[in-house]
Amino acid sequence: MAYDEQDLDALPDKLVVALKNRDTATPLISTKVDRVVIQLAREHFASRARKLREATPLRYALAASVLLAVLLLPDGARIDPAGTGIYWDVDRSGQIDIADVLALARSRGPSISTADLDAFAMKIVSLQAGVDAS
Amino acid sequence: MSCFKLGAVCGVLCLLVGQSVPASSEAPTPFVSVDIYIDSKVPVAAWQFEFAGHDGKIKVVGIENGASDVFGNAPYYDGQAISTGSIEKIIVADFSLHPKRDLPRGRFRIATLHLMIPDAGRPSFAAQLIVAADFAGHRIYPAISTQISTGSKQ
Repeated sequence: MAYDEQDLDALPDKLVVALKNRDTATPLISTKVDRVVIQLAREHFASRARKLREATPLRYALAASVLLAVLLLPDGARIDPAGTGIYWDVDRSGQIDIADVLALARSRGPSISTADLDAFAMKIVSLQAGVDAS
Repeated sequence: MSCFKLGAVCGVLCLLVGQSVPASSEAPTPFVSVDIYIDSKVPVAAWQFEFAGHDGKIKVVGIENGASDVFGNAPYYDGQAISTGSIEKIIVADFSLHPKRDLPRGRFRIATLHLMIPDAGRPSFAAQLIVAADFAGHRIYPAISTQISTGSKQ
């Protein structure tokens, strides 16, 4: 709004100076600048959404893996206390017996030694307490 | 010496001689051999059974393999426990990796148990089949039976 210089004479000088200093040109944001800002904002939020989309399936996969591992591990599976790692319910029958030795021998083939198979079988027939053979 | 006195002396001597020879008052401890059979319509690749005496009146003193060559020289059992001479039951098992065509079927002897029967009389025991499997490892359910093969006294 245009103002008359003469009107300012009635105002205190300090106020006049302050008003004049504030009377500056309003910064104008050009369309180009506006587009750039919008693009940057979109890219920023898009990256955040991408990270979220990538993380969620990974978490789901991890949870599913844990669940599958828990469900698929046979009940009563035991690891040989001697550390051979072969004394377990191979055929998932619910008990550890000579059929597991047979299944292990067939599944491992030549990769498992006769000594290990013998050790497994001897544990099954052992009468010592703590060996659940049936 | 009169005849009476002579007879008395002889009688005393006979008694003394008789007492110097210890009388065999204890009955000989019998040993018996028990054959374990299974009867399967399907070729057997693995078997496991438990053998126990009733009322603890038998002792397992030895185990030998059965009739089929595919199960090796001797089955698996707790030899250390047997050596203590105090077990009243035993778990015996074996398996074979022979081809299916070589596996036995029908009624065949899988093991022979040698028992000591402390008390005179008829031994009382039972064999229970724990598991049997075919070539593929599938569980099968053959019948198990026992038969006293020989008896010897020592």
